[in-house]
Amino acid sequence: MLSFFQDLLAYPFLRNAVLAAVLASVAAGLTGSLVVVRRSTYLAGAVSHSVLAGLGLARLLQRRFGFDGLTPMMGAVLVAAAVAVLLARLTRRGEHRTDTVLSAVWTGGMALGVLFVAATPGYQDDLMSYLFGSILLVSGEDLAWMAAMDGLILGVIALCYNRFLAIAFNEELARLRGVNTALYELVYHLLTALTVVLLVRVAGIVLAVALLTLPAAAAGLLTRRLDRMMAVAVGLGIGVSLLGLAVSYGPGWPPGATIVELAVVVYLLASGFHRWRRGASHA
Amino acid sequence: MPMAKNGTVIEVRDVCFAYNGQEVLHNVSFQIAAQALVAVVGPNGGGKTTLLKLLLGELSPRYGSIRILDGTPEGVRTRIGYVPQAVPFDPRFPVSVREAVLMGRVAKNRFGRYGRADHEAARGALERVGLGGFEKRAFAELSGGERQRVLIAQALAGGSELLLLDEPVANVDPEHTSLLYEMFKALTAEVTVMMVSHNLSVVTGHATHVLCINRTAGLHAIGDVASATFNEAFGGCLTAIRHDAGCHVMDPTAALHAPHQGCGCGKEPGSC
Repeated sequence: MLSFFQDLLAYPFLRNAVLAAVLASVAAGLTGSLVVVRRSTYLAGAVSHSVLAGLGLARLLQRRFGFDGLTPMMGAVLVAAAVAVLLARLTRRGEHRTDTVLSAVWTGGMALGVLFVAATPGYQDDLMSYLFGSILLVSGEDLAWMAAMDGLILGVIALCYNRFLAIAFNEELARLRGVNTALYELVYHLLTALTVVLLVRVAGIVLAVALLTLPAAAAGLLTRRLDRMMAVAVGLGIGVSLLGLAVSYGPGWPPGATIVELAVVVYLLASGFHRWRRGASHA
Repeated sequence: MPMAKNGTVIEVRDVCFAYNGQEVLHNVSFQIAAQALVAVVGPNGGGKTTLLKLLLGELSPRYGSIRILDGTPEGVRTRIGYVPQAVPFDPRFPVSVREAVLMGRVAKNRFGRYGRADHEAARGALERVGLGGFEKRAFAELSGGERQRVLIAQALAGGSELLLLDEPVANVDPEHTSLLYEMFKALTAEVTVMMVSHNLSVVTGHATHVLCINRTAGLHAIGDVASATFNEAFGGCLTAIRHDAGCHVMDPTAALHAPHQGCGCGKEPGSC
């Protein structure tokens, strides 16, 4: 732990990692709270796993076909957005079983990514960092992207907050009251996609859903209003990700996985606290 | 409060509706006057929910026409306050009573932002349903009956002139059920209330009209209904209703086999 704080002053990559953790936690807390109250964490799972297709395709086009401007991050954003639009359409009005659609997109997208990675010349070490995150490799340019996406997510949620809340409460009632729910559903799906891409940088595809849902779920147990839940989720997210970075640094543990385990612990603690408080109020 | 010109809030004429060829409503016609408290009764699968969806404009009739508040169901949708049977409810959904009531006005402002008028309307609506002072309570903490009242307040806050309630007392204990019906009755001073209900004894005590739905429909002013036969009525509603003309017993088979006035095809029901 001590070496973490000493090195934090000495090495820019560690400072970048800390900033990335904070930026990712802001997006995760805001969007994650909506995802949790809407019970759509598997939507986020499907988006995050299919993001591998975007990362893999961008890397393939870069290495093999010389598209230098196309970074994996851009590929991820494009594919995540496309998947979000697709899921918003397919899961609407109950024409298809949501569960089945999510599984198809989840596995199909991920398998496509594996094929792209296999077709890409050179080392395959990227794959591990896509899957489990590489927060220690975040560049200044990545940070600028992340900050811009954070700004966008915060702005959209601030503008649409009441409509998102009404739709999450009851979609049918919101529609009958005159809300264009199809439009706001699409915006919500895009927000989720954008947030997932942000989180993939920190925790990787496999663990992104944990950062999205665990701090928000813990916050949900501690608060009774969505806006407070968002604020607490952001705080918990920043807390666990910074602590995770610091704890994992000395022994050289994977930071993404450490952060996720801490988030699980925080969720369990919040759960215990919630039970205790309920028990106390009923006694 | 704006009211339909001739005092008629709902006018359903010769409506028939089928899901995939399976006819659910047949030749349904009735008129509801302003400030009525109408109980919709009938067996499961008799078409009560379908009728509500037609009135909300979520479904369109195969034949016939529906006018509500002098407009089409789609056109006046935001003036109708629909209150579902039970919000499929997450017991931890993070929303306060005030926020839940404000949702009735969510489409009235750009980006759904609430101003002073919205907060005033929400407070007034909560007082009308007897929940003044509940603004800051968590919605999830309320009892079933209180939640139902919050949803009604939501509809009132949105300026509804017609309340459509689907089984409003399904999750409410008996003690609070009659309080809710008293409240509906009081609300009819300003709005028209139409509710699907299973609780017939309370219906007869409070409703001004009973609408029997079992593929066909019959509207009866409450004084005309022989309440002693109500239990029996529930199985085959139409057979037991005494009509204005006297004490005749209507033959449901005749009604079901009557030709479609809307389409005039005169075929068997279901083939139309």
